[in-house]
Amino acid sequence: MSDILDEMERLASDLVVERDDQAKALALHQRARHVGVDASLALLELARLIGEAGEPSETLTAALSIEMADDRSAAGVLTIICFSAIRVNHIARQDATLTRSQVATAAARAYDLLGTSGPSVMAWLVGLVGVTVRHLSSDAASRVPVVRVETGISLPSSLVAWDLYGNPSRGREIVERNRTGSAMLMPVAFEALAT
Amino acid sequence: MARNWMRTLRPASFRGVPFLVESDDHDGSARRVVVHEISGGERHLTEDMGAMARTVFVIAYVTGDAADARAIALEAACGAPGPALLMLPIDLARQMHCTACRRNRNRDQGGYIAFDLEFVSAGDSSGAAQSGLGMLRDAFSGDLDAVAAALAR
Repeated sequence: MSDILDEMERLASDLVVERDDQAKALALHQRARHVGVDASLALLELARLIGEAGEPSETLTAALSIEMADDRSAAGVLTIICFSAIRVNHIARQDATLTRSQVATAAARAYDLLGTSGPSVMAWLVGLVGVTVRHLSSDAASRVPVVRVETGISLPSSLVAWDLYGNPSRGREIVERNRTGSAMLMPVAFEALAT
Repeated sequence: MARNWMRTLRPASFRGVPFLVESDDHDGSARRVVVHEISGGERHLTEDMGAMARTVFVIAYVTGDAADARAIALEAACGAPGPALLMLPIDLARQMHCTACRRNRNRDQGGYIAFDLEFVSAGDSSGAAQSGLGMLRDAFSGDLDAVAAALAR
């Protein structure tokens, strides 16, 4: 129990920046340390607060790395994942699809841990995940696809961006998408937005 | 035996304030359809974009020795915020907003005050487009106490 609260305390201190929200997170954390209905309520509200805080993709990555051990941690972590995933601004169709599969995988792991808490928790979490996945699906449908580009030789990202889009300033976008070390020497095969 | 129309029509009212109806025109029973005429194509496409908002135009009036008081009451009902129940002689009662209310009084028609009224059907907020985060917040708040209780067991 304390493990998940420790993780959430760490996430809250890293991600929650508003002074009011920090105070709220601290109060919720103190309440969540106890046992009972109020503690569970505080844990879920703290999870929502964390999920709505910080840069969404960073919050999502951090939440996906938390180990779920029991029903409370599963509910808390999955709440953070849903609230952060739904806020991510996806640029490409594949990005939204990847987030959707991450949410689905985390949900499957969480559902396995809900044996003792009964159907109401399962139904509630299924509802959260359902809203998130539907949103991600519609997001994916409205985004441009990513294509694979092969140049044969290493070229600067700005030249590649000029060739692809007629706009050399989009070189940074290609570098970030492919996580390349040098913008001057792009790999011979990489991903880029179709338009 | 023919139906006695004047006796079988419903009394009209808005927000509970009665008035008499000279005529009522209804608009918006149709669909919002977009026609796509494709360049070079011999046939067009149609896209059903959903139901239109229902609009009702009513020429109403109030009469009698208390016509002035009735007119003021009807104006107040039309100007009050939010939708209210609109009863018309042959229609089902509907929740509608009053979007226009024009009063008309003539010197030669004492005890008779006319109105041009316009109503639009009240929207269903649940059908409005909602952000993903908004829907998630709603899903989170629903049954939260029961979930917390189940987790505490």
